[in-house]
Amino acid sequence: MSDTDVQWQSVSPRYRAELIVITGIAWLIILAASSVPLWIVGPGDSVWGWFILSAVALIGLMVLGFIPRRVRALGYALREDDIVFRRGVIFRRIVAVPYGRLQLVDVGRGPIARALGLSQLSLVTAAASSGVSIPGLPLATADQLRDHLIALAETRRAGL
Amino acid sequence: MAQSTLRQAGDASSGQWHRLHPLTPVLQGGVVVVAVLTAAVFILWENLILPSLLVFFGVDDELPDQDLWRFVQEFLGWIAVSALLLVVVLVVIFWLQWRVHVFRMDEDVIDVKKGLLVKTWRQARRDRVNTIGVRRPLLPRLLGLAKLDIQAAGNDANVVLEYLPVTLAQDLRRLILQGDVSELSEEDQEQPQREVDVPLFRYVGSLVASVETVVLLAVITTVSIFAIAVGDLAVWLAVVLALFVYVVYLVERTVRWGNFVVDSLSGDLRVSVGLLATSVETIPPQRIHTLEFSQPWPWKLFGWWRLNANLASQPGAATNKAPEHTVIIPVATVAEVVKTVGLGMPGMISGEVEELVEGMLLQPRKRRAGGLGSPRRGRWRNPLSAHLTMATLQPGLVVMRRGLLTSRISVTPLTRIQSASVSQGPWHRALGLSHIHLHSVAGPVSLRASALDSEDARKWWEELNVATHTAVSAVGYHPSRGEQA
Repeated sequence: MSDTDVQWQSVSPRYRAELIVITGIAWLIILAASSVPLWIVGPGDSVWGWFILSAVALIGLMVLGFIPRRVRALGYALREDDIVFRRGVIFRRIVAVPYGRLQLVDVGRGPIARALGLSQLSLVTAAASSGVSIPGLPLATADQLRDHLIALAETRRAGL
Repeated sequence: MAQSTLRQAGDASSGQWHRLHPLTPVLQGGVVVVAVLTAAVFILWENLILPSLLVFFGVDDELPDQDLWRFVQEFLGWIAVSALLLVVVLVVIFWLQWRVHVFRMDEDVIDVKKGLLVKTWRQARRDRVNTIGVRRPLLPRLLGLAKLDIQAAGNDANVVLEYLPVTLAQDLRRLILQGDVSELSEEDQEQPQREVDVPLFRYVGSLVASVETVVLLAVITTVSIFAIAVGDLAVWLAVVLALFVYVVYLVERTVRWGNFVVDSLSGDLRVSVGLLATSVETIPPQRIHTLEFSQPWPWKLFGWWRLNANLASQPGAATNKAPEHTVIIPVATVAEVVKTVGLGMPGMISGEVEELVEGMLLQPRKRRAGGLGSPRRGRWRNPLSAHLTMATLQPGLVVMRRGLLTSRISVTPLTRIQSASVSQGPWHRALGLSHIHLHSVAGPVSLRASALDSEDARKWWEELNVATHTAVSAVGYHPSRGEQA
């Protein structure tokens, strides 16, 4: 899967911040849950409790540290006849959606994304497995892209 | 708003509201009433009905001295009056339900309005109609009635007209599928042509020659050996019970799926199924998104294949009792499969493709040259089936094959592919392999090929993208009539 022949557009670097906040909150909850053994046995005499806690913390830090790499792996490209989207570092995936296949385009914003001025663009085709949603796009880019894609979909419409 | 019960299909298209058959509420809600009455008779039989019958026919002279019986004698008049009242109320409710359940059809839309307390009004655009089913559950079938299930693309996007006299339902189906409502005369009606008829013994045979049977036999053998070793005969009871359940399963499936017939009618496929309750589905070929032929390993001996399709419609809640209409043929011979593919994708199957598909069907385990296959190292990812994996781009079509224990071969028109992806997990990556997935509408068929060489897969994927785009743009789109070739 060489990516030399496609001019990839990357997503906003601010998306790293969004992912770090979301993942951070999730891991704090997991960390709190894995401290339960310590509360039950008592922090003084539970080696295993500390072991579990530190292992969870370590994995959490690794996941957080990995975020910039994951964000760098995200990319999309508008080509002549289709839009391609790639994501994933360990599990890589590249999808091509012909413009004529777009049924609708969705722009969504979570609370953190909104604070950072980002949106997520989701492309919907008649197949559920297409699964293309491009996160971390600046507001203006996402809206512009949506209108552009809808216009393209209209001119190249091909039913189902 | 003049409303009348629909009697002739030709009247339907006038845009007027029409009522359905007067027995509709009875068949829809009346089943519950019948069940309650039956239960009441069963409960009262021993104590009340049987003794009074015996007295009536002079078998017994004396009535049993029971509280219930004395109560009945004392309040006989009241009981009769309340029973009568109940019947009157039910009839009035049924009559009102029948009055408000109306439908209308014109050149563009089909409307159904119903409901006394909770009113619903469903409208479907006629150009979005995908498949039409005529379903006949047992009771309506005995009364000569049927329901018309009109499905549009999407989940639960169907309009159901229930119940109509059978001939009327069939005429309406033809009317809706032929598009132009003004041209329906007797001469125009093409006779359906019988294409595939699945013999009952083959269907039962396909059930018996299944993985389930093999598992059951294995379990029974194990249990028997165990029972003999232990000397406890009570275990045999479990075996008998299991066999009983197995027979019930065979009978149930056969009643539901027996008498399977595929006809072609003015270019559409017509799939009929059912021994007692019948269901007829009319599928226009342009709604078939992909066809898959699958063969579980016990069938290899007989050369049987199952035909599944992804269609652009999902039956909704109202039709979930009907057999899955994504099954085009439950068990077919190779010749029947080849014939049906030609019918389902008219004008798309060239002689070359037909030869390719037939060859694959006859020898599903033979390695084939050409197309995109899995390299030798693919064995490390898919030890059993890597050498069988294949994807090939043909003019206007993609043909794919995978699986060793269950062979799966699929044919997908390029114009129906929604999108395509190349992906790889860590294991794939370590071996320099990739996975290709073509995205089709929801259905039983998934179009995948794994353990392909990364470079080749990427190249093939790009070729496919170009081919898909070319095929899609060659098909014009007309806003009111959907796709046109």
